[in-house]
Amino acid sequence: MKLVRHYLESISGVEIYPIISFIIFFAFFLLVTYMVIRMKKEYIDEVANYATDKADELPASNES
Amino acid sequence: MKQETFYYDNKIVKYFMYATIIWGLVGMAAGVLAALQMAMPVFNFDLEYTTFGRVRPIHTNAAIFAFVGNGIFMGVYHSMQRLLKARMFSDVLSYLHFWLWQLIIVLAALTLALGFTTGKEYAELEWPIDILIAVVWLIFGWNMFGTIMKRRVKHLYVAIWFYLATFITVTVLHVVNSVELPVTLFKSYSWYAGVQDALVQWWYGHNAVAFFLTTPYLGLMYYYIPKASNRPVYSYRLSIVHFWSFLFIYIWAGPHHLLYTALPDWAQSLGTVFSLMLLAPSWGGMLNGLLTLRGAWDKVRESATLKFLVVAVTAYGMATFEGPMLSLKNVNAISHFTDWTVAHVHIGTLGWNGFLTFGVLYWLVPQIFKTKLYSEKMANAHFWIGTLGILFYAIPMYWAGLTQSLMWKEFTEEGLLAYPNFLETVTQIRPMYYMRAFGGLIYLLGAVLMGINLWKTAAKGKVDANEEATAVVEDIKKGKKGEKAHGWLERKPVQFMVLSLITVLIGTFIELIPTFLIKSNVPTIASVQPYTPLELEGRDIYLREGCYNCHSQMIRPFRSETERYGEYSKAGEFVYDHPFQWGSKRTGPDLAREGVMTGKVYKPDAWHYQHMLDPQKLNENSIMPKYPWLISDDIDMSDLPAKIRAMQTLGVPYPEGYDEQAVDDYYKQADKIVTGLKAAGIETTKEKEIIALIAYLQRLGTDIYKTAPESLKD
Repeated sequence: MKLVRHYLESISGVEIYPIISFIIFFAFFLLVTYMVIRMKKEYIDEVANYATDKADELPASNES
Repeated sequence: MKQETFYYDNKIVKYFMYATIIWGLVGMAAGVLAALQMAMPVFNFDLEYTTFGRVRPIHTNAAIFAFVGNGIFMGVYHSMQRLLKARMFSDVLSYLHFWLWQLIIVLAALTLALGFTTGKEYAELEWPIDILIAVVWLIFGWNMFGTIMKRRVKHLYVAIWFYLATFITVTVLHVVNSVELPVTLFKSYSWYAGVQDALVQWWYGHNAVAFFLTTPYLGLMYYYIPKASNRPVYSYRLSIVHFWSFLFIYIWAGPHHLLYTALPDWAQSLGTVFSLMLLAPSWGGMLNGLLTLRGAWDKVRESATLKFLVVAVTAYGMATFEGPMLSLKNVNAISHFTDWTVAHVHIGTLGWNGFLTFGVLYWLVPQIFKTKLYSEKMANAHFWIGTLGILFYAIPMYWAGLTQSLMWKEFTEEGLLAYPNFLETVTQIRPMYYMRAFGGLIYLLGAVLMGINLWKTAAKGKVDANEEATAVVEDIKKGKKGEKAHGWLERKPVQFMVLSLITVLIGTFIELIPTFLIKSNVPTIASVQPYTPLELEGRDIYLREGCYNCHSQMIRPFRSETERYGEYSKAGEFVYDHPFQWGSKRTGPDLAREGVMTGKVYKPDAWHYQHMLDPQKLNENSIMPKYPWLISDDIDMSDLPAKIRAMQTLGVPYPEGYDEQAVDDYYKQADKIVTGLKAAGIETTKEKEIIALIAYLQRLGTDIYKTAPESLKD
């Protein structure tokens, strides 16, 4: 695999790539988690029910 | 607070519904034909339009873009109007979208059957259709975004985030991967070559799975599972984490399709690491879907809709567990190029996409036609037939994949390949191909049953084309209590979309930019020269016939492969390959060193001639289609100078003015092959297509064994 190693060596500082990538993701993940934890329950309960609005559909007896 | 009355457009939902069912049946039928062809080559019908190399792209394009595509639009146009409490933004855009998409599908089927193809998997359509796709996609986005802007509901529900992400990412993927240089109306060359083309293609291919087959369907899952079970989504918080980590991670994982190839190692490792991480959001989403049914499992026994949805989400869970496993280099070493990948893909398409579509259809058709399902019994029968179909499809394919891999890699005690003849493996797994075709056939029959059931349902009901609805108009400018940062974002579609775009671009840039920098880093192999005009035309025939559907051109650095095929493939060998032809499946042997005369797989010109005419005459057990038209048809050379000029534009170093000399050189080289064939007792002429194809095959893999021209030596 000499040839492939050659790439690695010829892109300066390529070894930092996976590390940077992981750090970016981890920071991103923490940010999203933090945002989610801060959200209030009343809000969540309301928006989570958007899909189950019964006004949009026929009576349940109709369902397959 | 103001209450408003408005009208949902149900007719457009009905249109997409019909299209989903009809194209679904067509796509599956094409799949069954392709499966039969692999078991019994007679099903290629000895016609160029119906050979496997053309039927397979028709099947994949129909299943993905026609069946699932219309399924997406059906679900989006139905759920979005209700989630936003608004009619679609513009009826004109809605119907333009519908009819142009159907036009694209028809054009795709026709051009693929005629052999017009870019030769890039899942992106085979030629440039005029690519442009049309982009236009229609923007119409869809415009219509969707317009609806969002005139909504009466403050916040965007999770399903809509997934629709938005689908729109924005597919736009980026389609545009970047389709950059090609037109030569004629139906012929173009990929802008990228070799390693770069491979990376762009699989960045696209992988994310087409993510953002065409998955995100929109996750959106449907988040809407229709709560609907059908009458339960709110299990965890809204989890859905937020699911959405953003999915968006962020998926885009990085493309290189796992290129493990052990000539792609740089760092890109391969990045692909593997992110593929493993992908398990978390995928399973987060799957669990969120399944747990939505908590307390409603008793309904699953009765309801065909819920049965389909549950199995769909379970299949999604299985496929997304298997995906990261297949991305491990040691597993990939075994699975890649075998039928294992085919099995994996079909768990996703038959299970996740197919069953989710069926589940939604069984729920939605009665809703739209304001009636009850014609027969719940038939729907349940469909469920069991479909499940059986998946099992009959997947199990033989896993078996075949493992068998292939074990046989390809087995050595005798003396250190020789235990099965040196590739055909031994093909013969061994042929019974599996029969069983797979049976599995596909009964899956199709189940879908036909659904078609009848839904047809009867539609016949007894009536569509309310403009369904009246009322809603309180919410002030979208003012936030709700406790909405916090993400709640704010859910009110701001533009910011939401920009943030989604940035999220997918991070991975894209980190992955693709170095690959383009590589251009200066690819160790130029001085002896690698552009294709001769004859070889170039031969290569275009190779593309036209879709040879890449069954043959790879990528020898991985394993002893089992170098022993069988010869020296492993180097990145520098593909610098003039617009597009690359590494392939992804070995139904037949690898061809990367086909032309190396002293190599392990070399065959003389006369063999190729006879083999193309009738492969079964040379090898009774061969499953390769016959290509008699290559023997009888003259090549159309009118575009040759234009092709040379196009290649020059792409950076292939033909001498200046070579386009004028190309035809002469073509005949000179063709003459030699014709003379050689004559000596072997075969009478043909230099204009025949077969001559060009032979020249191309005999060129494959030979460059590294040549001496570089004097001018390049220093």
